[in-house]
Amino acid sequence: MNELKNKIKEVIISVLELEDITPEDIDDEAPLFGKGKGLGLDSIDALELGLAIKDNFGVSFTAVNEETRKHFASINALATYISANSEK
Amino acid sequence: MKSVAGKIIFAALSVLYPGLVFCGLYFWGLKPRVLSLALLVLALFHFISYSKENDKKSVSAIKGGLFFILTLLCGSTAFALDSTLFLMFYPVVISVCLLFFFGTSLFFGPNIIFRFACIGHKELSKSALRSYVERYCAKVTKVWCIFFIINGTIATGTAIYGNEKIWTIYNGCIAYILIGCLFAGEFMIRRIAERNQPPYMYLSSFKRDSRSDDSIVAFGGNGERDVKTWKDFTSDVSKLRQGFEKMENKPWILNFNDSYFFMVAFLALMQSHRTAIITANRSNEFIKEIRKEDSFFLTDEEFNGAILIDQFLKNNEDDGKWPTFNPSESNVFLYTSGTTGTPKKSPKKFIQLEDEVNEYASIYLEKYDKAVVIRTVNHHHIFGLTFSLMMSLMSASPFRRTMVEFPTEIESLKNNKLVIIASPAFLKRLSGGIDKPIDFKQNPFILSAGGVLPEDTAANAEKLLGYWPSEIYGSTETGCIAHRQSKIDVHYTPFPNNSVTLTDEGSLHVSSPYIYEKNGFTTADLIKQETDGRFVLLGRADSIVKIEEKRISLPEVEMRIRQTGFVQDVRVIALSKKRQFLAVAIVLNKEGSEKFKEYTKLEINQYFREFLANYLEMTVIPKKWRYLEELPQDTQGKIKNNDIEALFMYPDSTNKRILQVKRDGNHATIKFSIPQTSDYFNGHFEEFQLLPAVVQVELTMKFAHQFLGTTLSLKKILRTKFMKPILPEAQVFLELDFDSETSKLSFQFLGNDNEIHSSGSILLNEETK
Repeated sequence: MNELKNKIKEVIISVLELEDITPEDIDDEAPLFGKGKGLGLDSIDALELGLAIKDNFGVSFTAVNEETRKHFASINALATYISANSEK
Repeated sequence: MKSVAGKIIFAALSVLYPGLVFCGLYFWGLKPRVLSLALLVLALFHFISYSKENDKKSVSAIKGGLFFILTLLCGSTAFALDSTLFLMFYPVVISVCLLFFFGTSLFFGPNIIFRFACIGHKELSKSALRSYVERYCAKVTKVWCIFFIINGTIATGTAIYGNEKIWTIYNGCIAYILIGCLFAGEFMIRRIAERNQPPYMYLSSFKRDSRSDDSIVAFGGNGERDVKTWKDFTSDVSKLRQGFEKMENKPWILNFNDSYFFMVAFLALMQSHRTAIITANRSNEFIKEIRKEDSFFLTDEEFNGAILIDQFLKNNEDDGKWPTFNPSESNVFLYTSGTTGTPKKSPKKFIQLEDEVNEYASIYLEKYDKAVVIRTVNHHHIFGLTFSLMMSLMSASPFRRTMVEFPTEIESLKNNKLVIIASPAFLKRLSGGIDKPIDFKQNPFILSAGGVLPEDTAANAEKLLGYWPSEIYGSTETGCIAHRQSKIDVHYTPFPNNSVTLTDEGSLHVSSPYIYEKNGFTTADLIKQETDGRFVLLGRADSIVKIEEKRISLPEVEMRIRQTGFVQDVRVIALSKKRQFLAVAIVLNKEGSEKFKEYTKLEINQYFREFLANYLEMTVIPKKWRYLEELPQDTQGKIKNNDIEALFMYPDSTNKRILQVKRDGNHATIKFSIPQTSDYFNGHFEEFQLLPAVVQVELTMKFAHQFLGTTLSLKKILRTKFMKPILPEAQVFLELDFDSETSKLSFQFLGNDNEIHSSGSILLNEETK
């Protein structure tokens, strides 16, 4: 699971070309989107990220609803969703 | 007066001609030769009307000429041969000429019947329903053409095979009765056709029974239970109106997630003669700022100090009334850009919004007929408001209550006739959610507004969604100005009531009935205009940029950053790499340096980001940050955008930190520091760390590439001299000089005390362009 989380962080950093930040700097529980102490990603980043996750982990997000938003909430939430939905 | 009398005689002679010929031959015993004079008189009349035509090449003139020639031919032949037969050909001439006239108008529109209709209804040619009326009139024109063919054939038959009696009965009586029947029949059919036109009308003309109770106004993403009907709408507007009327008369700020409730509130405000202030930005700070002017805030989501729409709906009963309001006296304020902190209101009268929609509808109404409307743009901004919500209500097409955020959501609506109000940003990301073309039952209509849509994006949209998006050019202040579909024409064509001119500065100036300022509005967009009024956009003239379709003023972001009190100098620029974003170069002041002493760079970024989040939307909060001792400038101290941009060419690395850049042409001095932790010191001398020569050459080349635009390709090291080691934490000045003639790059590393660490020169490969 930790390996997955690290991989997700690396994907986020490389795909969104984030600067000044390493995987270690990203808190597993911190919100990825919106205001506050998190990464401060926006809706355009969300689209990019959704694609990158599909490419890297083979897990896609189809409809967008409250559920999907929850999966994007934090690294932990993303990791849980990916491990539950990727083919073993 | 003379010409009116002439026309009456002309018309009477034409109509009564069959009877005249009959009486002449039978009762008055006149010879055909004498009667042929009547034809020659008619020919003369035709000639006069032909000669009055200004444009001799127009269809109408040609018709006049044709009439003249054929009538003259019949008349003179009848005279020469003393022939009854040629006298009897005149009704055929009429049919042939009118067939020509009506028939050609079908190919070189507008069709004849529509032109007649416009004479009676001057407003028709500019009405949103024009295309419907025109199409109906085309059908009527065709029916007339068929009538002329049949009538002409019968007239020919009666002339050649019949006798004078039969000829007269048909051409002097039956033909006129048939024409009468045609008129009467068309009149009745028109009544039915009018019922099939879209029930398009202005919002301010709505009555409570303008739509049937069960017609759908809006629908949600979650099926049946989210559907709102006209009955729900009228009842909710009534409840809200009473709510507003009970409150003190102050302006109301509106911000809603749900477009349905937004429109309920908007209309109810108008009905209760209250001012509406529409904002997309609902950050605490922003709302606080705009509420300095006394107002209420109505929303559908918990917000400190706001009134929730639920309370109004719960506490008021539908009173069944539907008061009208004067749209020319109803005030609405829109924000030009909810993304900047400074509240800049754009005033409107409600009628101006309606007129704008009407202008738009004059071209696109058909697309909305029996369609459902979805949007990927914010309904608090002008085009979301006008083209998705107001237009939907005015044309009775249901709209979706929430914004479509992901392309995949479109697929679930593929069985409907769809109108998609989108932005270039959304269309650019279509491929992200849709990987193969959607098999729509009927291809949708896609409108793109809010920025220029690149042609490859439009082509991709056509591939996946089956429609090359139409584009609207305009702004909050001006409403829609022009439209285009770049597949057909890259030029924008101004809407009929928009007059677009070029200012001396090359910017676009527009005046239209729905611009608040009477003298029109000068935009910041530079254009190139053709003689026929169409134009292409050349870029923006000021420092307002668009980040993913959100308009943002760079000086305003800078102003916000300065507000922290920790900044001595700041410059914000817009960059476009994989996406568009803002980047910022900051010089901290004493307080700032003190405050952030123990902070990592990430933490400093975080501080500024959180501060800006109070005022700006996430999308326009800068993504990349540079902290320097001084902004890049030339020796005159002039800050140039390309030097700021150069700071962001490489990702910021922890190996070095740029502190100053001074550049003049091909000469630059870069001040930078190399922290102890830098990788540059690794793997050389464990005990004695210094900056290796090879790294110095690499830095020389990279900095030259970054700030002087030279190539990264080394041909030869000419000479190098290393005099004094560069130690960790040292601050170093690198002087670069590039000779573009010889491609020789000279460098010199200097210490703080102006002592030379090293110097040399290298030869670069010539740039292959």
